[in-house]
Amino acid sequence: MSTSSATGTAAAARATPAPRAPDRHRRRLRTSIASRARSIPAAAWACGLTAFLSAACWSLVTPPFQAPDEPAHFAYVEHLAETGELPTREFSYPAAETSVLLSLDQGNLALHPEVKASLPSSARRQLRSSLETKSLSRSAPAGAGVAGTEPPLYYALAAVPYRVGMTLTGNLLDSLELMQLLSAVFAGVTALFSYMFVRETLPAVRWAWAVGGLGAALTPVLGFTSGAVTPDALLCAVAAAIFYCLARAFRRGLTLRLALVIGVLVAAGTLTKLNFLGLVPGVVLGMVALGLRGRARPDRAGASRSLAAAGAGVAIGLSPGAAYAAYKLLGAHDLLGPFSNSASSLAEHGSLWSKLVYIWEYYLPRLPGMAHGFIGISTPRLWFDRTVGLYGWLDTSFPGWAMDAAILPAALIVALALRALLARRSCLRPRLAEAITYATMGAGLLALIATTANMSVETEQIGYVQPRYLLPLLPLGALGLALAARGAGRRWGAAVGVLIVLGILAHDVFSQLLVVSRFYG
Amino acid sequence: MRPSRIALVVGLTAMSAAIAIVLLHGPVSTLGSNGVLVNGEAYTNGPLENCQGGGTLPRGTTAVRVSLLANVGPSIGVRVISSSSVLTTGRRGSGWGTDASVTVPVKEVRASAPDTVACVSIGHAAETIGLKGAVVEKASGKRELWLRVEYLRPARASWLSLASSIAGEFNPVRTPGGTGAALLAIALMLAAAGLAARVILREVDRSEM
Repeated sequence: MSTSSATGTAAAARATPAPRAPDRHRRRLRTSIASRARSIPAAAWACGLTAFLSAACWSLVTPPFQAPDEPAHFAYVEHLAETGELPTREFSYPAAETSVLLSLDQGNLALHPEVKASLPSSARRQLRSSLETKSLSRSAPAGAGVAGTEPPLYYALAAVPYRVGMTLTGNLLDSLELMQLLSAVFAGVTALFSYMFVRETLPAVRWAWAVGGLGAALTPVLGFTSGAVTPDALLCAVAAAIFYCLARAFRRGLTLRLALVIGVLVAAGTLTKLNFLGLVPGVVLGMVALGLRGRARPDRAGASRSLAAAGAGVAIGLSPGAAYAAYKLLGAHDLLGPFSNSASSLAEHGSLWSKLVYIWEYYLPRLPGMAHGFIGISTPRLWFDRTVGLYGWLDTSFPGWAMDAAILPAALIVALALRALLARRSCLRPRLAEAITYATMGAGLLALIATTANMSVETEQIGYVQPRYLLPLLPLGALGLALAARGAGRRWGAAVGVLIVLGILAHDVFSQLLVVSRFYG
Repeated sequence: MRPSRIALVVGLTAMSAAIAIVLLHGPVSTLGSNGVLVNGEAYTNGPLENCQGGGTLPRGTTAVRVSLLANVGPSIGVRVISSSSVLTTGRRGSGWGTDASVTVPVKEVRASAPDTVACVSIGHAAETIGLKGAVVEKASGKRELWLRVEYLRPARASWLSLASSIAGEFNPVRTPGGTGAALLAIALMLAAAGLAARVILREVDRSEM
């Protein structure tokens, strides 16, 4: 370097004031985020984009407020955005929304496949006038019905597109569309992390990651759910991110940063939907296993760092629940709040054994010695049929022959995945703790859903057989698809992988056509 | 050509053919009913059989819709009879719903028949189900609930011929709405399909390099 240029650089450095500490911090953060985004493979981004496109399409195909409980979720956002306060559990939604629901004939359309979404011109005029009426309250009554018991994180995020829509056009249905697009973004995040999860768990074969990621992206129930206003969309994204972080920690070791990220994600999941609590025992188990595994490291400092990281992650993750419990106990309220009545009714419903039998039979065939909990219904078949297709207000499903026909490809996929697992069973033993972690997360969620059904045994116990509740386990489904493709062997694996992705794409397309025929045919 | 590319071509061709076949079929249309208006409700856990006035059974009927409400419905059987001869029968297994009606496929009816009796048998229900219909007072003074029964068949017009009118009805009073929304939905799914095909082929090619 010449003297003159060195002098010039020094002068320039003197002339440009050094960035302030917050600016430096912000710049470092931006650089760190950009470099992390660059480290995500293009195929993962493509899976995310595919899921977003599919969910955005679902948001157009499904008529407004015809996804389960969408009016209640919308009312929650509306009240929160307008007042900054949480809504009540009453079934009286804000007047502006109620007027639009009446104009759309929402109540009559739901559950009545013979009623169509097409509006005659008089009804369109009435709907336009409802949307243009500014005098109707968007905050009172303050009810959000079934959504009133849910935590506020998703609704607080959805308040942003709600406000944008109201500012731009003042039309509730435009706000609804923007909120649905936010859910579609969460579908993209879910698929992206599903791809990354498969990449960490099955690192050997690159194309299998795309089979898992695209399989998750095009799963019709993900598109349908994330094309609507519902906290399930964010719940899936958070759960997928946790699966990925755990897989990364099991493969590369638990760092403090990764443990903190897992902790923050668990806290976010707890603040998104109560169903998330079903995953928490599995996540805590995984963190304990990761912390203990660190103890095997030769250096003592490294071992204690890994335990401390796991502890910090668990502490952050459990903090919202602990804060809630402290608030309730200090205020001498029921610890379980709105669930107290249900919990006491659950306690009245038989012994622990009978509850375990109930949970078993909710998903699996009855074994000898078990009481018959669901006479006239095969619950495994019911779950299968509803996974094949259950859309609209749970009132739209494929004809029986289509569900029968779906058994063959589903059985083939399961058989190929089992074949891949058997062929690589020696690789499973060292990863037992990881497998037990995922299994506990899955079992926890299934047990929570069945227990919730058991709580409302008088009203709609089997009504909870809804595949959307299983969506937080989608990364495990993606892993199953990738395994199935690999189970076809080295020669045919890639071709079978392509066929699996196309099969799920076809399932998505025909599901959307089914919904169009239901509402517009 | 590599097996993965052959699989892609075969898969996309099969999917396009299946979509074409579906579009050449028609939506379900209602041919007639037993004239019962739904204004009452009763509940049952089954099993039971309910025989009632079925009105005129139209020729060409391939399915019967019955006004039953359930989260998860039990098995349902339908028999339409006239002068003790069975005109058509059908059955649907348990697990239907959540719906305020159930559609049961039946053997195609060859000729119309007036003054029929429709018998609906309800299997053992895991949950209480709702019977929706009209309360009828019989000559004996006994009151009973008659279900609404509708007779269905596929319409003569195909989905393809109805496409433009359906597109016009899409997403009313929204932005985008009508045909624009329908075209946007098609474009979004085509983009998703194209992206998925491109990604999987590229990843397979990279792995095989």
